[in-house]
Amino acid sequence: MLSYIARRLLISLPVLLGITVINFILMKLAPGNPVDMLIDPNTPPELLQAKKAMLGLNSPPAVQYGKWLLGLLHGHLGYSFSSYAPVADLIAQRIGPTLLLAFASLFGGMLIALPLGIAGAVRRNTALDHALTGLSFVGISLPPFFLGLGLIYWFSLKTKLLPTGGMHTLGGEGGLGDALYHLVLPASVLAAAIVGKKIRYIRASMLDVLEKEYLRTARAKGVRESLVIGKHALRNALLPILTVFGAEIPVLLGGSILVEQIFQWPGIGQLALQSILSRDYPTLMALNLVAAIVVLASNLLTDALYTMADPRIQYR
Amino acid sequence: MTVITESNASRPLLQLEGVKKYYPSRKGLFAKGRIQAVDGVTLDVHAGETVGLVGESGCGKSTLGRTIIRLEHSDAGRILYDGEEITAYSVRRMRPLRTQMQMIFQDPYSSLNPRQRVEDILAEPLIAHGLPRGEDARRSVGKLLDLVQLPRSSRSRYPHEFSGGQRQRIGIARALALKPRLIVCDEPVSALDVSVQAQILNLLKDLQDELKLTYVFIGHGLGAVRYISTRVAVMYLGKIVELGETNRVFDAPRHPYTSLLLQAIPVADPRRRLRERLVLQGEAPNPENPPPGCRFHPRCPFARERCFSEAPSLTGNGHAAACHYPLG
Amino acid sequence: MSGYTLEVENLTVAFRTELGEVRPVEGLTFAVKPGETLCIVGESGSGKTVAALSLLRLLGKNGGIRAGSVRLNGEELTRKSETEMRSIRGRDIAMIFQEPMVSLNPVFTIGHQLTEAIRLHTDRRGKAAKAHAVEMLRRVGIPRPEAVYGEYPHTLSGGMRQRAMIAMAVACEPRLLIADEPTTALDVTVQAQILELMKRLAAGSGTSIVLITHDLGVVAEMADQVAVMYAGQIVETADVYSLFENPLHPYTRGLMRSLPAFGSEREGRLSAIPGAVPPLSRLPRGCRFHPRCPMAESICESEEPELQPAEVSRRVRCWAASGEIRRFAGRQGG
Repeated sequence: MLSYIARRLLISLPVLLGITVINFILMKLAPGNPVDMLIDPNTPPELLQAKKAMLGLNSPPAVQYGKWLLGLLHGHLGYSFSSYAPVADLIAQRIGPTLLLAFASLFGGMLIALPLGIAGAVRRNTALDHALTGLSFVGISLPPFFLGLGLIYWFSLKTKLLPTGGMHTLGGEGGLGDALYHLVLPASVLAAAIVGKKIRYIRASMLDVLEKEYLRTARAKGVRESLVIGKHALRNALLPILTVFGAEIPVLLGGSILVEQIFQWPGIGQLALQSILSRDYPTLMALNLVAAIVVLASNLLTDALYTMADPRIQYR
Repeated sequence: MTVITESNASRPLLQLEGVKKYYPSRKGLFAKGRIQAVDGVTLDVHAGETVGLVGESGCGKSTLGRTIIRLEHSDAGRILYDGEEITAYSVRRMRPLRTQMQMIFQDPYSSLNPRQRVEDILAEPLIAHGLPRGEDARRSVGKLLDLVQLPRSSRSRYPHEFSGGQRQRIGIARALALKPRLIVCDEPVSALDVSVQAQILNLLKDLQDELKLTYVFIGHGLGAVRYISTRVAVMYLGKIVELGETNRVFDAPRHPYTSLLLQAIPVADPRRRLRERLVLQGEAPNPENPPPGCRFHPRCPFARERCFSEAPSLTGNGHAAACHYPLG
Repeated sequence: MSGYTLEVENLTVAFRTELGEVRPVEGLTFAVKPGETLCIVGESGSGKTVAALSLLRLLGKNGGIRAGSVRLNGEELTRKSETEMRSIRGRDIAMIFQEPMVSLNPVFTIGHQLTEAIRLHTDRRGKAAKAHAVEMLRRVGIPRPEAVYGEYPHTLSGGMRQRAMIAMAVACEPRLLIADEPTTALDVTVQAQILELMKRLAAGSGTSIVLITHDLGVVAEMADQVAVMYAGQIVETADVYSLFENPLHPYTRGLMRSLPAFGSEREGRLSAIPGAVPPLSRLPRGCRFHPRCPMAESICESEEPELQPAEVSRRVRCWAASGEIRRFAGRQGG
C-alpha cells in the first residue's frame, strides 16, 4: 500500500508540471495584461514599458515560464502583481477559510444525506421515498445564488438569527465560535446541492445492496433488522459512495467561489476572482497549482479510502 | 448411434495440435504471471461424432471450446479445420469459415437480444453472411423453427415470451441458420430444468443425425455428456488427462482423476448409497501456478515418487490416459 | 410431544405482486423426525425455496403465510412475534443457501460473521466465541482454521465458502438445518465432499435436515423422506426407497425417466416431459400437471386432486394414481 502511494505521488509530478504549462499558455492567450489592467489609461507609454520590464513581461513567454518554474523549485511562488505581497502568504491566509467551508459542507451534507438516502431505499415507493426524491431535486436544481440570497433574506434580514456575511463579527473578538456562527449560511448553501445529489446516489446504492443474498444470510442468523440494514447493508452500500466522495472535493472548491462572493467569505474563491480580473499572473499560477494538487490528492485519498473499506481491492 | 468407424479412414474435420491459451494475470506492477487455461491440447474431432469435454470448473474446457472455433486466439499450437490450417487466420479470412462453425451457449437468455423478434434473431446471421434475403430469408426462418420444433407462430415473438427450454431452441436454431458442420455446445442444458434437459438433448441428437453435424459438447452434468458423446475428453488444469470412446471412459476409466470424478456423481438409486467409494479431496489448484510433475498428483490417492517430478503424456491407442500408473 | 422436530400442515404462502396475489406455495404438509433428512425435490418455479424461507418466516415485506401451521418441537411458529422468531433463527433453525459466492458478506471476515451468530445465541463472548468459531471451522474441514478466521470471503474457494456457511449454520447446534440447493453451484467433486460433511454433522448431533434440491441423485444419496413439489404443491411424499422403487405420480416418474441413465442403455432417446413448468400467474385449472401429463383424463382438467394417502406412509396428489389405488383396494377386498 505504501509503495502504491509512493508510486502514485511520483506519477503525479509530471502531471502537475503539465498542468502548469497548460495553465500558463491559457493565461497568456487571454486578452489583456496586468499592466493594462492596473494603471490609469492616461499613463505615458514609457512608464508602462518600464513597468512591464520590471514585472518581467517583456521576455519571451518560455523564459517567463522558466523563471516561474525555477522559483517554484526554490520554494518561491513569486509576488502578486497587484498587491506585491508574497503569493504564498496570500494563499496561506485564504486557504483555511475555504477548507473550513468546503469540509463543513461536505460532512454536513453527507450526515444529512446518509440517513435520508437509506430511508428512501428501505421504504422505497412510499410517500416518504417520493418526498425525499422531490427534496433532492429541489437541492440539485436550486441555484446557489438564489438559495444564498433567500437564506440571507430570511435568516439575516427577517429573523436576524444569522449574519449576512463575512467570517468574523466586525469589532468582535473573533474565535472559532464566531467563525462557526458565520459559517452556517454559506455552508448550508453548498451543502444543499450535495444533499440533493447524494440522497439519490445513496438510495440507489442501498437499493442495490438490499437485494444481496448475504442480507438473507444475516436475517437467517437472527440478526436484528436494524443491524441488517445499519451494519451488513450499509457497509457495502458505502463503498460506491466513497468513490464519489473524493471526486466531490474539487467540485466543492469550484462551488465555493460563488458562495464566497455571496457571503463575502474570505477564502480562495475571492482571491481567485480578484486575480483573474487583474491578470495577476503569479497568483493565478499558484492558485491553479493548488487546485491541481487538491484534485490529485482527493483522487489518491479516494483510492486509499476504498482500499481500506473494501477488502477485495488491493493496490500493489 | 454406433461408434464412428471412419476415424482412421478419413481426415478429421478438426485437428488440434498442442494448442495453448494463456491469460495474463497481474501479480504485481512489473511481474506479470499467466494463467495456463489451455496447456497443450492435441485432439482430433471427426465428422459426425460428438466429443464431450468434461472436468471441474476452471479446467479450461470452455476456453478450449472457444479457441477451437477461433473465438479466442491460441497462443501456441496448430488448429486445422478440414485439413486447412486456420491458426493464424485474420478475422476476414475466417469469415467464409465462420458459417461452418457455430456455438450454442449455456444461458440462452443472455445470448439472445431481448429487443429482437425471433425472426430477426434467426435472419441476422443469414443477412450478415450475404445469404438469402426477403422471401427466401422468411422461408429459411420457417424451416429453422420447424427443425427445432418450435411453432412457426413464434417468429414474431420476443425472447422473454419463451420458457428456458424454448429459448435454448431459439439459440440452437440461430446456430443452425448458416448450415454449420461443427457446433461447439457450451453447457447447453446446465441452466435448464431437469425435465426440459432431456428435450434439448434429444433435439441435439436428432439434429445431428438429420444434418450430419459434428459436436464438441462441453458438459457440467456428466450424465448428459455420456448420453450425447461418442468420445469423451477429461480435462484437468488445462490438459487432457483421458481420452477415449465414451462407454470405455465411463465404465473403465484409466486415469485416477476420471475414476474419482465419476465416483463423485450421486447415483439416483438409494439402495446404492452405502457403496464403497473414494471421495476426491480438495479442489482444483490455481492454474496460475500448477503443481510440478503430474498436475493431479497432490490430490491423487495413488501418486508415487515419479508423479511428483515427471509429467505424464497422453498415451494409449483408442483409450488414452495421461498417467504413469493407469488403472485397470 | 409429537415426536417430530418439524411439522408443517397445510401451509400456504402468498405474495402481493403488481398483478395481484400469487401463491407460490399451497397446502404444504410434511413432517421431519429428529435426525432425519427430508428432501424437497422440484424444478424451478415449484416453490421449494419459498417453502424453505417460509419455515423461518423470511418472506420479505410482500410475502406472508396465508394459512396453515409450522410447528417446531410442537411449538407453533406462525403465531410467534418477530422478536421471538429472531431468537429462533440461527439458534433452533439454521439455513444455508445455494450460492456460497454471494451468501457471505464480502466486507466482514469469516470469523466476524461466525461469531456474530455465536454471540447472538449463546453466552460465549470474546475469546470463548472465537475459540468456538475456530473449532467449528475445523469441524467442517477447513484447513488452517485460525488463519481462515481472520480472512475475508473472497479469499476462499466456493467449496470452502460453503463449508464456512455450514460452520455458521451449525455453530449454535440447531435442531433443524434447512439447506437450499447447497451444492448446485459447486463442482460434482466438491458436492460429494459437502454432502458427506452434512451427513456426518447431522449423524453426530441429531439435527434434522430439510434439503432442497432439483437433483434426484442428491435425493437418493441423502434423503430418508422425500416430498416432490410441482407448481407450488406437493404432488407426492414417500420414504426414499419406496419413491425410487415405485414412483406413483406421473411427474415423479417423468423426472426419473428423463435422467440420462448411467447404466448401459445410453443408446436411444431420453423420455422427456413435454412442455415447461407453468408460471404462477398462469396455473392451469384442475390438476396443475395435467397439460404435461401422459395419463391425463377429463377429470384432471377440471378438478384439482387432493394429496391423498396411498400406500403405507405415502401420499400422492393424482386422480389416476389414487384411482389405481382404489381399484387395487377394491380387487383386494372383493
